[in-house]
Amino acid sequence: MARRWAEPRRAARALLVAFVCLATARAQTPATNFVTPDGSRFVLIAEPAIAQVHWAIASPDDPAFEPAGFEGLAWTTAQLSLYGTWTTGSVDAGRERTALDQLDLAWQQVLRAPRPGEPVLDVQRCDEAARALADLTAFRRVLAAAPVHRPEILSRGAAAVLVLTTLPTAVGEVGRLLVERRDQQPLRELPRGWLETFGERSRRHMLDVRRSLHGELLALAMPDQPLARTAEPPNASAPTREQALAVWAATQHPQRTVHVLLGDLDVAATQRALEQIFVNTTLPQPAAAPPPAARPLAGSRRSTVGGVPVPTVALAWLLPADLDPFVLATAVRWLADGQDSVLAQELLRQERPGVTVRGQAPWPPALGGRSLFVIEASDGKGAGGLGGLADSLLTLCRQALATAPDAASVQRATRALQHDWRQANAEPRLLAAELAAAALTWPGRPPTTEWPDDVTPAAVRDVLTRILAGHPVIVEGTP
Amino acid sequence: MKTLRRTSPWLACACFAACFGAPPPAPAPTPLPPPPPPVVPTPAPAPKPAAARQTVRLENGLTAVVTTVAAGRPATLQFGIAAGAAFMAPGSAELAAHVVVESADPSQGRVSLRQAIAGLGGTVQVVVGPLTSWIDVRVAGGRWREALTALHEALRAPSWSRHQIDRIRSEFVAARAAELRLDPARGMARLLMLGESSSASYVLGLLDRDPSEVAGFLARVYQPERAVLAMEVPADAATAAADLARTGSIGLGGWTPAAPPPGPVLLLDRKFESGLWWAPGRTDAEKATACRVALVAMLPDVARPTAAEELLWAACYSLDGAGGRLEQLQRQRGLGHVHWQGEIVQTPDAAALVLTTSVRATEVGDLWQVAQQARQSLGDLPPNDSELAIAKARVPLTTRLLVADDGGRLRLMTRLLLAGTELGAVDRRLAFLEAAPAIDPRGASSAFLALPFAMVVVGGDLPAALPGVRRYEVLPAGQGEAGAEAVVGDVATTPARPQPWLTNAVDAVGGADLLRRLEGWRSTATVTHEAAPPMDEVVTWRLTGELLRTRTLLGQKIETTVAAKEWFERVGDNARSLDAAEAALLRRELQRHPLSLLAAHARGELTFRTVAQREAGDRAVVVLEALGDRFDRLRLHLDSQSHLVRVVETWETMPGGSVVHVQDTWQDYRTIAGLRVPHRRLTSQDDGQNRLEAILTQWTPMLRAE
Repeated sequence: MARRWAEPRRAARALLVAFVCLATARAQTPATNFVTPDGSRFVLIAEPAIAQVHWAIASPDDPAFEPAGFEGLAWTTAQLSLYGTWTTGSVDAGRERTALDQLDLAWQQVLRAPRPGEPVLDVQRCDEAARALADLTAFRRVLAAAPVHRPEILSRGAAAVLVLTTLPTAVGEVGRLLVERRDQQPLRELPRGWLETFGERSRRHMLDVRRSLHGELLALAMPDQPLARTAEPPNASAPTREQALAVWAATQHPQRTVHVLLGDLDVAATQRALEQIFVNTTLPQPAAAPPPAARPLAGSRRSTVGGVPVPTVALAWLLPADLDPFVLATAVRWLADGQDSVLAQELLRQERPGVTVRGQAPWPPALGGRSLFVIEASDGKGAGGLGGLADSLLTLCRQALATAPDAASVQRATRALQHDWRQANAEPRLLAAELAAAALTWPGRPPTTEWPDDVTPAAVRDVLTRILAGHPVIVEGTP
Repeated sequence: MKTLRRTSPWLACACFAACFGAPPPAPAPTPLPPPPPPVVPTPAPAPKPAAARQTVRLENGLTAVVTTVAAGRPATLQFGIAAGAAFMAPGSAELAAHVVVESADPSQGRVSLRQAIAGLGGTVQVVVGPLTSWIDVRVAGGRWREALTALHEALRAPSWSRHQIDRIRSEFVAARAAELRLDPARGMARLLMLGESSSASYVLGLLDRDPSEVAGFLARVYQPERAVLAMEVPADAATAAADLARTGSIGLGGWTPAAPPPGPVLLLDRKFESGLWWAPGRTDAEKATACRVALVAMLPDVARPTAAEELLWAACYSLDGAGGRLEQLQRQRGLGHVHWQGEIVQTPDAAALVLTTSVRATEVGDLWQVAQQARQSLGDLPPNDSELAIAKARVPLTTRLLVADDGGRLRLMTRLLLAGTELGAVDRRLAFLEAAPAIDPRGASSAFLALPFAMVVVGGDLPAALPGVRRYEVLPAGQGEAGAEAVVGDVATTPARPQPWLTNAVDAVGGADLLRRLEGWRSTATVTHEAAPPMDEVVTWRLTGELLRTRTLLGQKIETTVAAKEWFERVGDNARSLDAAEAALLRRELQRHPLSLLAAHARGELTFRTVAQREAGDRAVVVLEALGDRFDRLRLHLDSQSHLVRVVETWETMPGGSVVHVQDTWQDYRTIAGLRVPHRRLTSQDDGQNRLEAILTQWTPMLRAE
């Protein structure tokens, strides 16, 4: 099987490398991109000033890869993966597998009435039995001895990123352990992990004072899309072990992940070593193709919802495909994000000083950026109410694009983004995580270690013109 | 308290960094499973050529270390001052660095350094250790000259405005308090590394600093000869260094602040104190929740010759909280379910492995015992070959974690460069140990066990039977959700009765119960007068009126005794009697000490009336006057924010019969045995024409048994 696919893979790899070489003209530090025989995408960035190697593996944390009602399952499985593998951390893999299945059955029985004749299992006893057959710290211990520092899962937009720090000489050994984690994953502690995710999602949902506004916005803009489910309250049911393993396989398959290694690397030798380790996988070929993107709206959609403490209007447009993420970010900042933005300044001139404006894109985070550009404007003082605010914003957006943006204001937006980027990624470890997430989210766009300086006013205008050419969704939120 | 002379401040800091620490704790052995064999070893990157680097001392005394980096790399500028949290007064160093970064001069059109760098797309960070303070600036490589110009401007004209310093302090305190609320255990771990003994007293230290103290710190310490500028820029190092020496916007050689005021730069007697620190929950709900625990294991200074051995022992203790003696002993004692998350926490002068977890309050005692015994076990039973093999693989990573970010890397490199060594020394020592027949286990153990080690616990209910635990508060009262501003805002609405203010003042220094038990104190101080040589003073004072005072001036001792029936002064063999007026004057000097006054009030011996509520500069104060005939128009100035006594003023009749106005200004409050005690007194007479400064170096209370 591996032999049969070797030639196409090699050709694909050559194509990818060629594309990346063209695209890295912007990157300050050259990146080496390649695909290993198992299909894993790697980005190696040699930074001699960094004395270690920061290794980040991004995998999808996107509802498109999760069964409906189990949003957050991809994140949960990523967290649980650090509890070890069948090889590392199991007292007796066969018996443990049975114990975990029993626990799964017991857990599902708690959530629904047992079928007639089905023996009722004791969850606590099953949990204790499964725990007795596992060593939950074994994998971390072996990683630590590899040596690896601080393996942890970070959330970055639509990606869950496993990030760790190691030595250049240990890349081979760490790679072997990462393949083991991927291919021999028992997903221990699933009930406990899912409850934690459920609790955290519930808490965040309750704390989001604009949840009704966001829910309505997604329902209007992306009906029937998995992404629209992110604004819904978490489902109180629990996934089966089989569902969790399927999500693990779908999100961790080599074709769905991106590895970034940043640090003191001998790039050629590291690439050779990785190609010998990431050879094949036991995970099944992912069945589901990525879901189709939301269809462009045929006309404007408008709605009003209650339950929003501060009167807020939200405008959203679907993002077109193939946008440059840096140009998009600059355009959003320039037009609609913060008090220096064009919209905020214009609203001040119109003597609406109580209005604050915030722009986001892609929102919610989604792989490929197939999501929304959202402008939210809140009238904290509420004196003028929302009357006319949405229409004012639409008019101001059109006026802002009537002429080319002035270079100084675009430069201010660029500098503000550079500041934020540098602040958030001051640690190379976090930079590696960010680069891996970006490479997964924007496939085909090479990661750059520095925020670029070359976004032009014309590019900003062009991207906004493309976005705003679509029909908007407008939702007004009132108390 | 020690005094650091202005010669070789960086060398002095290097010496202190090498020995900044305290001793540890108890016993138990265990072996470790062998490591899995490496499957595919990857080659180490080829050795790189040494970076082009220039070290120059500019004409104004500033040391500059300039390193060339490749084009396209970001530029890093680090401005370091050889004075940190252990200097002058608590909180001064952090506030001073933030004043440099945050202050602006709108009248001159100068924005703050932070705004200027943000405008360049870069970042500024203030990092303060016990011995050094740093301002880190990072910008895109091509903008380093603009960044350096902004830094130069900020150093040339930091704000001396009381209003601006107060605003910066207020924002800084709010940010720190928010950080401590978010992760109090980790926050306290970092503060222990600065020599603090409580996060609440750290915040109080910041609140207690008067803007004049911050301005004083800047004037005294921010001097070129105490400073170092480390730069990594995509430019020729020699040319960049030459540009620094020239006049012009980036010519830091032309930075010549006014000469520092005379007098020593004080070094506070503070260090990382090992032990178990616990901030129990305040409410029933907090007491019922799990405790957040941080285990803080100081790592050795990599400049030390024995650093490699100490790091090996540290790795045998625990690998980031997994494996090692710690986990083995946890399993043996039924604490195997406790999983740690490890990280390296750094100040500019030291680093520690901090392991965090959550446990039940009832498990804390056992966990602390296990943590200590696992350490001690490395002294009783040195690591075996298997443990050492794992540790040897681990230590190169640990040393590299000390330089994990650009700021830390450049800082450590600069510090080692100035100390005449470099990071590779640890690797070479490891290589030597690899080839050596055996490591001296006794030496390695004793050096490892001498490294400071503490456990911080936050939340839960403090068990009654846990010995040796040191209780502390996460944040001072009033810094919960609303912050100090809420307290200040109350001034206008509070009725003009003295009692609420006095109650707050009594609570602020330790509470009525403790003050009622106060019988006196023993103190040591250095007393200076601008027209006289400094003098050492040792005082033993009882609130009953008994005073023993010894002053040493130019090697001569002057002993003064004011007891029930004996009032005399002795110089060498000569003694003279004191008259009643002289004895009363001596007593009143101690009787008007804030703790004497508040203790007298707590015992019901002294009452006050409210005179006024004033705005003094940007601070609100309440002025209370003592009633009765004990003092002549004695007035207390209470800070309405911290509730501390800031000023005591009175009229004194001198032995010659003349009447003078005396004003004691009290600063630098520190917590000793539960009491908040001022450590600096500035006494002025005759409207400030005659000023005497006393800096307390030691203060020990005499407390009646409960």
